[in-house]
Amino acid sequence: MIHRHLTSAVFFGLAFFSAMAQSRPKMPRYRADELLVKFRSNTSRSLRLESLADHGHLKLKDLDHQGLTHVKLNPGENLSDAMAAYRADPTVESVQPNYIYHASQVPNDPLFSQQWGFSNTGQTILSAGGPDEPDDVHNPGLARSDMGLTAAWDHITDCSSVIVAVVDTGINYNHQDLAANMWDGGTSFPHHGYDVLDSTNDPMDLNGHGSHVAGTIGAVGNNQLGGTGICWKVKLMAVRALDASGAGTSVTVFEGINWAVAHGAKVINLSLGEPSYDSSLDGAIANAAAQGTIVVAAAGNDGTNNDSSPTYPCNFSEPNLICVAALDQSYALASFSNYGAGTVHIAAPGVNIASTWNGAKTSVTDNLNSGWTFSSSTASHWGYSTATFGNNTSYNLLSDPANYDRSAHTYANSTTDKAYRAFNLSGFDAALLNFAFILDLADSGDAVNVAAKSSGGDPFANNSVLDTLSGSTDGYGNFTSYDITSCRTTTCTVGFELSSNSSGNSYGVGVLLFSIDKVLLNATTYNILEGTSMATPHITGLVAMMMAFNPSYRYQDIINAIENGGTGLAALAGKTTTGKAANAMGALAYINEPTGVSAAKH
Amino acid sequence: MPSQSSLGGLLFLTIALSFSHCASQQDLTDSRASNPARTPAQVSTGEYLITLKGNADPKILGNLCLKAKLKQARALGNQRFLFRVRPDPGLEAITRAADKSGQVAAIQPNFRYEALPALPLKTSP
Repeated sequence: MIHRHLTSAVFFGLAFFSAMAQSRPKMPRYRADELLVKFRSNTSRSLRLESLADHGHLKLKDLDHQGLTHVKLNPGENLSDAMAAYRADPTVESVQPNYIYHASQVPNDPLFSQQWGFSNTGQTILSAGGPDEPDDVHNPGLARSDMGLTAAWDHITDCSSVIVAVVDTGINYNHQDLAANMWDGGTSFPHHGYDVLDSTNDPMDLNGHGSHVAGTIGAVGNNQLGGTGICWKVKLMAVRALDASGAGTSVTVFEGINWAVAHGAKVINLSLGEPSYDSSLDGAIANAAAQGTIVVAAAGNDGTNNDSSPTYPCNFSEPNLICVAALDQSYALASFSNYGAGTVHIAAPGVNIASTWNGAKTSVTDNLNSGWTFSSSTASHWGYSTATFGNNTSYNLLSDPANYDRSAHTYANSTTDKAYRAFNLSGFDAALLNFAFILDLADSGDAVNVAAKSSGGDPFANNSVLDTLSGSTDGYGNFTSYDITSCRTTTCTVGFELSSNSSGNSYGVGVLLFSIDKVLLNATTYNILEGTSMATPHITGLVAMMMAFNPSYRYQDIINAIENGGTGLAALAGKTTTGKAANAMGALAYINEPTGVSAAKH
Repeated sequence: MPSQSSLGGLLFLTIALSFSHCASQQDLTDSRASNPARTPAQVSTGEYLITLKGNADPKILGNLCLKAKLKQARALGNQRFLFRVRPDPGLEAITRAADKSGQVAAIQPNFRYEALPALPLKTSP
């Protein structure tokens, strides 16, 4: 730890000193009336004394036998001017301030010891009390493999001059560790953001994902509660563009980005993706660039190369976009993380990440072997069957035909077959329908509709269709989820309808692994997640930190500093454009002249 | 800067589709591409983002030669509209109809985005 401080402090001093006037250090970094002067090796002792006398300075001490000398300046003398004079002295090899060292600043939050991405001590990550458990792989990890935040926090913890938008499932703005860091939207936006999905003023998170992302960016630091964010103070703007199942569309994400930019966000986190080029989203990110806003996007979790199998928005080439891969606790590329030597820029911690959550979840499962109502326009109908998948595990199926076997039996032509059941979903804040399906339908307009109806009875009677499935899954089970929060009654019926025309048929449909998650919001839950979704807010928080550290930086300067100030990792060579993991101290210390600004030099 | 009232402003085009002026059409059910292993994570069924050229009148959206019913056309700003049709004739058919009109600058599906999981960790009992 001390070694790291020394290295970073020296680099900081040599590279950053000219911009010191624009920074606001929280505490003295060096003694203002002392210097360490390193004379050239061929400078005799008498010449060194002569040089010091010429500069009018007193020698305090010879620090070694190679010419490193501790020097006292005159009262009131400008340290920068003195350093410049020594640099011009031909007997002097180098000169630096006498830096002040102290213990790194760490927050007093109890969960901080589990936030290995901020400070990796080789700790074992345990449950955070939420619905998910940590991964055992590389847990514990490698000590000191982290973002160097404890050193960075010596320089800045308060990013509250920056509005950071989380375009996601919303934010649990009442959470004990988020409430004080939420953006103040005034009377127009009293819930700290906007729900572009439902066009309401309430972006409450009914999924948890957005709250988890927000906590990594800006959970209140040093409040003796939970964990901390990269920014102990910040302005988090909640933009709900994804529903309780985590799904959104081009329109909701595009509108979310535009809304955030229009209301002052300077950083936008997009922990989301899809595989097709989306020009509307590309345009929204370009519009954000015109306003000086940086967009940080997740690389994806397929373990694939984005250079050949793109994920958007990560793969857009906008200059204000940073694409992020995930690292595990040993600072290896996470096994699930997408990568790309030409398209993914940098990596950050993304495995076993503890952060804020939206509440408690209970699940209702159904064995799919009784209790469902069947109806049909013909003699065929849904029924109960079983299927064995490639893992030699047998599953109960709700299937049509009832004797589903994916070989000898097919569904009927010109039929409308329904299967539905009622569930009590009252008393909860959100509900999520989950199931897997195996599908073989003829390519002639045959389809399976999925529906949920809050008033009970046939869910297809008044067109409460959630989705339409068609085609074939080629023998595989596809998992899916649907937000059925609007169905939170005592008589929510969920159903499936196979509709076939007169031409062609096939093996039919099987539904398995059926469950409904019921969410009760609270202000105290934390959870452990992993994904490039979790790596992305580590960079988003760092961007906010950089913006707050020097408001004169433009987005090009900040991206440049983060990418070039990272730590090179062999594991990332050929995997990202930089081959680096983000390092907060490295980013703060990497200083180029801000573009378009004339900096006052000392 | 869009005002809140116009954000995602709802412009419902209650225009009855008329097919009489259209040239002979293919059976659009045939043009619906066979869907390989479709998962819900790709596109929203029957939803398309259509950007009109210059000062093109949005009413042309209702006159696209489609054997489908226009359910909604919602203005998104800058001549871009969310276009909902049932049944879904497919991107190919809509693109052909848009090309014929000469008034459409761009068209894309309404892709589905998902929160990049949250990989399924072990769930506590």
